Amino acid sequence: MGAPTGFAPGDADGSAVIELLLADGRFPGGGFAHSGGLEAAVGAGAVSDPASLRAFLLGRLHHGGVLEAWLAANACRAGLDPEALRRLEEEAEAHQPSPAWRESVRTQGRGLRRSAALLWPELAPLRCEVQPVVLGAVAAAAGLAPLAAARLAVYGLAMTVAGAAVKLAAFDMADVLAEVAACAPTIDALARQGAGEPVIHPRSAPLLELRAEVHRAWEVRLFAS
Amino acid sequence: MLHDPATFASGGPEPHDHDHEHTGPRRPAHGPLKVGIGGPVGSGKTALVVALCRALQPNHHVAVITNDIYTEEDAAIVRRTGVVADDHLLAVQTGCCPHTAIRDDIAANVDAIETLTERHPDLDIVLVESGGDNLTATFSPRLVDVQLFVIDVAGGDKVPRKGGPGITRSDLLVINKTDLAPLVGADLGVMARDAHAARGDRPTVLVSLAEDPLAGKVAEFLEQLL
Repeated sequence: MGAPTGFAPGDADGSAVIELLLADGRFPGGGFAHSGGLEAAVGAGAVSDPASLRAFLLGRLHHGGVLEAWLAANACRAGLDPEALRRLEEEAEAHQPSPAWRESVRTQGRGLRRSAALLWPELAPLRCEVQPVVLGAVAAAAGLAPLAAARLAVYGLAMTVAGAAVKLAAFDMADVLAEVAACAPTIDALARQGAGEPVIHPRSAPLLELRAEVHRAWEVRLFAS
Repeated sequence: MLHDPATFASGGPEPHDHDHEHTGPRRPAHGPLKVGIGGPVGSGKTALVVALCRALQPNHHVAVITNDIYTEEDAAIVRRTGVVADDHLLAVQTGCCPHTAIRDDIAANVDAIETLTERHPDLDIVLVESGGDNLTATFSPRLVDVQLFVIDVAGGDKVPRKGGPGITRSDLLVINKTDLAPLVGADLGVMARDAHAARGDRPTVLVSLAEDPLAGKVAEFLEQLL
């Protein structure tokens, strides 16, 4: 029996479903406790309505998206080689001036690796912790392509912000997802750019990075970052 | 390659054969006994954590993880009492979702347990206090070995009858603040009877942490697992 009609070649092995599974917010990696910098932005009065949320989302995606896509795609190409993954983690650290965010991506990476290793045992010996690098390694173990890994990374960044938005301000989830949908071409373009760039160039967003540090010192906060 | 679900260990992080009967909660072969403490806001979870630290500390090596909803309030309370040293206490942020952090996505709590067990390899027991919640909170079996659910008399004597996974499935139901029963018109007999009806053979204890600051019955329940 051939593949069901309507499925692209290669989908019959279930990899498209696995991609959905990894994109699903229910996949336990600890991301729900992070806001992608949104809590600090809401606190500073920079995000309060759909227009300012979209502006934040676009800024955040352009700031972190390409790097995360590049890391995830290259980690996926590294085929679980610990040395190659370690070099990617060094690169990731060099690109992130905020210690709070360096810690945040490591916390989320450990969470993702621990859960994913239960599904793909070959991940268990890995020691990498930087979330997009772990995500790339998971994608490799799951048989996904580097571009899929990159897209998962950028989409994950958008959805971290989206998931936090309804808890931080008076947003309805459907309105928030409408903003993410409006960013879909950007998410896709950034994923392709990151997956295609041979060398990653530094991109900095000083205000986001400074706010990440200030946020960590707040006495009352909902999110870890 | 995807792990074959047929060989997926679902009972907890310790793989083991199944020629023995699972009669109740047990300490894993390696590492500390991990105890989840859930329950509604204000029922006395933090007070119970403090009491258990006082009761168990003399004979056992105890550490504490708190899951606050938005502050480190609970961690700060435990810290102020001085019942555990600072390096034995960690607070986990829960992004507004206290039961996600103990049930659906335990990453941050597992991380905290790992940090504590790396710091103190000879820990006997880790108390994981959930953020104050409603009656539906339960812990993932990968996070804890045994779960306690704390409700209080002042919350109304109907609570055990209302049930919910915390009431029906916890390994020990703790009904706290029995000293307040006459003041709020609660019938302890009704609470005990309803709890038994909801829980079958699973144990329930009625306590007053105001009168018994070492939570004797709860400590005793945990002692037999250590």
